[in-house]
Parts: sequence; structure tokens; C-alpha cells
Amino acid sequence: MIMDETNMRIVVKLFATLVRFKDGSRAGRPFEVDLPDGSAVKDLIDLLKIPPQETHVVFINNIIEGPDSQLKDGDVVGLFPPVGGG
Amino acid sequence: MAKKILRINMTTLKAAYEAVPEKWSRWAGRGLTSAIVCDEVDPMCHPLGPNNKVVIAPGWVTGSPAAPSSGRTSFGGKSPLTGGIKESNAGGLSGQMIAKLGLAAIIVEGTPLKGEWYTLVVSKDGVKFESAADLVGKGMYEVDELLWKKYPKTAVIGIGQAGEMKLSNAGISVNDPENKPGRYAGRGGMGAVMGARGVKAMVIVDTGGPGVEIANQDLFKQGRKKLTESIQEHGLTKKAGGLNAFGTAVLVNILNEAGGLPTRNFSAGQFEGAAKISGEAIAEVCEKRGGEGMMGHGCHPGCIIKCSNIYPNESGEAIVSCIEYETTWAMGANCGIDELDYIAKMTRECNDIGLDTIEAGNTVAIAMEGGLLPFGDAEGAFKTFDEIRRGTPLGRILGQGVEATAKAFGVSRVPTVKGQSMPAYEPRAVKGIGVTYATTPMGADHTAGYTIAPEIAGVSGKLDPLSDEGKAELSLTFQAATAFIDSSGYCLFIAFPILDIAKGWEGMAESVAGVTGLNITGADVIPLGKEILKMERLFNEKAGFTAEDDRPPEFMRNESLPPHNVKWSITDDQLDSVFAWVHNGQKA
Ligand code: SF4
Repeated sequence: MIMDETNMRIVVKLFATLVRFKDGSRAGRPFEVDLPDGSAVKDLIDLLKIPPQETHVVFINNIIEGPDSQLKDGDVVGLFPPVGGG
Repeated sequence: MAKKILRINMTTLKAAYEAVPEKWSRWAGRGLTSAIVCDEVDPMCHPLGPNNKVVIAPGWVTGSPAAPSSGRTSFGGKSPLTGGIKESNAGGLSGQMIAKLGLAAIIVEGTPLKGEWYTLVVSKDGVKFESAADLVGKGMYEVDELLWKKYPKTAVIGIGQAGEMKLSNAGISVNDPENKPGRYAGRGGMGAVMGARGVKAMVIVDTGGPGVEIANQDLFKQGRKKLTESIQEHGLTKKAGGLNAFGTAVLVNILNEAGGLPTRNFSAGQFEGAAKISGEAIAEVCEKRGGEGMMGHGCHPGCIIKCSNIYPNESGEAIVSCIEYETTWAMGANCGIDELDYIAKMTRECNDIGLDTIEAGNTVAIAMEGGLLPFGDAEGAFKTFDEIRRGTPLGRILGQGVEATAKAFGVSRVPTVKGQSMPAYEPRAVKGIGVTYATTPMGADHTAGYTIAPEIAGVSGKLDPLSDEGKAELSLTFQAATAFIDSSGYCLFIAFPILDIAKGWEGMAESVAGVTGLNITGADVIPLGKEILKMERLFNEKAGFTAEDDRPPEFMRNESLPPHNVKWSITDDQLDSVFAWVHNGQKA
């Protein structure tokens, strides 16, 4: 994707079972993704070809958000499948 | 055949069976241990004195055929760590075998002559009091091995050196299917209470036991089916789901992302080495090193979630089972340590000496803050455990847990409530769990009301972890549901599927009703849980607890926690509202 004024750059981290959607990725290792301005989390999930039902908890800059949340340039996004324990 | 109570008197060295009295007949697991402790233990007694007891009870459905993940055992008494009532819950082999012997509970009371130690062999024929002279001074790995030579394939409940020394951080070990001492009733020092009874170990031989009677087979089977399906369908608990593939330590990264992973003695909410000590990292090591290493290990036969693991060394030989979330956090992030091999070795030390890993890791962090060793010093941290094993003066201080160690080293950032240290969730960044820590009768305990489910994991809805709103009611609901699940014998981790999938909740209640013949439906879960909580709160009041004991530590109100730079902000009135119903809204 060519970077121009209408694009933004997002830092993405995948965790647990979602790691398999990025070749050579490891849990929590950040990588960059360029998206058109105005994109939401769900567009990022689409671009990464992650089935939406597999993404259970989304963080933007350490705050829990939803799939419809708008992204902006420089945001750090963490994507988690269902996780839990105790 | 109706279930019985087995009462073991260590003063007279006699044991007797008793019918379950009407007043206890509804209860099992935590409900039963708490009911017995409330009736029989003087709340003002010294926890290590002759008037305290160890009460052991399997859950309602424990030992019934193929009830999924239901082999839990409750251990109750007055806690030397908190001074209040304690129920500590363990997996491993004991629950199913006690249940198959037709026992509702085992009560261990009295004290033998000074210096005498016993192994209690409990079978269908009663109790044999064997001298434990050959086991005294030994760690639990050796104790389990020696006892299996004589009594193969039995459940072994025991204490390590910490329990013998009656240290407040001594846990009670239960062996796992490989006869390793990894399943602990860890919290609250119940190992010291067992030590004070002169009991080094208990062997449970279930051969020839009458088994668990099922009052209503159809209802039981219907409930079991619904519950099993919900576990198998839920993304977290299904095969190859989060818990099965990565263990409970799958939580490390999400808490770190949320800024709620307590780091370096609760001075920050994020740890730069989090990914290295996470469930994903543990799974990578198991895969790479192979051998005995594995994820998806079950702590008892019949668990279908299997969240446990066996962590291997470089040659593939098992170091320890298992590295839990709490453990990798306590020995890891909270001590500034990011080396899994050291975390595994320290966990093994805890399992051998008989220490709760949460309290132990927190204690090392306090010692680090107090200057005994620097944060991040993995080798130094590892060595502290041998001090405890040998019972050196330093070891005895560390073995008393966080509060004693903080006093010895002049530390004021002390993350405890009611004398028990906090687990791996920062209350300033996840407010609901802070309400649970502050108000549960157990002292700071995450399992007592796991609001992390909606606040972080997105289970049973999604709530903002940083907000104070509604967290008092949320915590109470979770505390009540938990008190019920802790009584059922089901592993608490069934909470994830049953909170999200309605048939799972119904199925849990129906299976309990099916086994016991009690008229219980899903609607009774919360009210019954509240009855248990009320007993426990009243015990604590008689032990001298007041509203002031339901408070998080002072530093959390004064110090901002990065990265969100938040303080504890829930008011004392909100905290007091959680249990106001116990006295109908009046002050106790
Ligand atoms: S889910 Fe984990 S802790 Fe619970 S019973 Fe199964 S193996 Fe044990």
C-alpha cells in the first residue's frame, strides 16, 4: 500500500491464537499496517483476514474498544481471541 | 447410602464416622467447610492452637460419573495468614477419591503429643494412624513418591517443610495424575493448620468405596450434557481454545495490554518482559523442547478443559507442573524477572516446600523493594526459597508472607487485604477486582469474585475496567456465584462458558440437583452463594473484623499507577454497600 495523505499507519499486536493470521509473527510482536483515513478497527480486522468472531477483545492504546471504534494515525492496536483463566 | 462425615481426632488418635446432621445436609465443598468451621471453630481461637480444625470436603458433583472438570476439593479452617475464615480450593486427585468413599467431609481436629507426626491413611475401612517419622523434613516431591510406593494410585494430601514449621504461607498439596505435588490449596496458610494437627500427609484409598449416589439420573444427565456442551462450545474452554492451548498464563498479555499487570511490587501496571513470561511463551518452550513438556494437561481425571501444563528443561525433562498465570506473574513481572526457566524452578521450589506461589512471589518482591536483593535478580530470588526450606531466620520471615516480610524490611507499599497479598490484577486499573479483594471474607483473592471476566476478558458482557460505576454490585454477584461453584466441585473455570451460554448455567444447577436431590435451579445459584458468604462474613465479624478490614491498602489511594496514571477511587461507602445486606443495611 502506498502511503499518502489519506492514509494512516497503525501499530498492531496479535495475541494467542490470532498470531497465525500474520506470517512469522509472535504474540505481542508489533508490526505496522497502513489503512485509509477514517478506518475503524473492523476494517483492520478485515485487512488482516481475521474472521470477526475470532477477535474478542480489542485494545487501542491500552484502552478496551469495540470493532466500530475509529482509528487514527499512530494508534497501537492489540487484538485478542477469547482469553481468561485465574 | 447416605454420605457421612469422618472425624479424625489427633489428640486421641481415633476416628469415627458420623451421620451428616440436618443443618449441614444441603452443603458440600466450600459451603460445607464454611458451615462446619462456623459451627465448630471458635472465631477467636489461635489459628495454630488446639481449637482450630482442618475441614476437607469435595463438591456436590465431585466423583459422579463424568461430570466435567469437577474434581475439586475444598480445605477450610481459620487462616493463620488472615485471622479469618478460609476456604482454599484445589484440583488434583483428592476430591474424587474422598467422594467415592462416600464422605461428605473429613474433619481433622486435636493435637498429638509434641513432636509426633502422622500419615493418615483413609480407606473404606476407616483411618490408619501411621508414624510419619520417615517423611518429616522432606519436600512434597519425595513425600508423594514414597507414599505411592506403599499406596500406589492414591490421592496424597500433604505439607512440605513450610507446613511443618507452621509458616503462614504454607499450603496443602494434592498430587496430580502423575503423582506430582502441583495442585495446591495454597492460599491462607492452611498447610500450617494441618501441621499444627501433627499431620504430615493423608493418603486417600478409594478402592471398594460405595461411590457417589445420584438421586435423579435423568436430571443429572440432562444437566451434565448442557454443561459439557457449553464448555465445548465456548472459545476459551473448548479444545485448542485459549485455556487449553496456552493455559491460564494466556492472561499475561491481555492484563499487560490493559495496564493492569502488577509490576515490581505493584509500582506499575505494565511489564516490558510480559510477552516472555506469557502463556504463548510457555507453549513455545513446550513445543520446542518437547519431551515431557506439554500444554493441555489435566489436573485430575475427567477435566475436559485441561488448562494445566508441564514445563520442561532444555533436555525435555519436566521441571514443574504447572506454571499458572498467577505463578508466572508473581515470580515474574512482580519481581521484574522475565526468565521462564527461573520461574519454573521457583515454582518447583514452592510445590516442594509447600508454599503458595502468589504469596511467595509477592514476598520476594517485597524483599526486593526492601533491599535484600535487586528487582530482576532471578538467581537471587531462586536462592531465597532454600532459606525457607532450611528454616533459617531469614527463611522463616519470608515464609510468613508479605506483611511479616514488609515489617522486617521496612517496606510501606504492602499490597494486602486482611493480611493476604493480592494476586495478578491491579485494582487501580481494574476496579471491580479491587472491590472483590477488599470485601471478600477470604482476604485479597481474585478467585473469590472474578470480575475480570466482564472487565477484561469480555465474558458475560463488557465493562470498562477503569470505571468505578456499578462495581460494588458486580463484585457481589460474582462473589455469590463463585461461592456456589466452589461448593459444586466444578472447577471455577466453567464460569466462563456458563456466564456466556445460558444452557451451561442451567446445566450446572441441574447436575447439582440431579446428584443431590436438592431442589436447585439456575435461579438458586446466587441466593445460595449469598448464604455461604453470610456465614463467612459473620465468622469474620466474631473474629474481630470490622468495615476497616474491607479496605485496599493506603498506597493505592495515594500513588498513581502507570500507564493510565490512576489511583484507587472507589469510596469506602461503596465498599461497605457490598455486604450491607448481611445486616439488612444496618451497621454490624
Ligand atoms: S480447568 Fe485447569 S484447574 Fe480446572 S480442573 Fe481442569 S486442569 Fe484443573
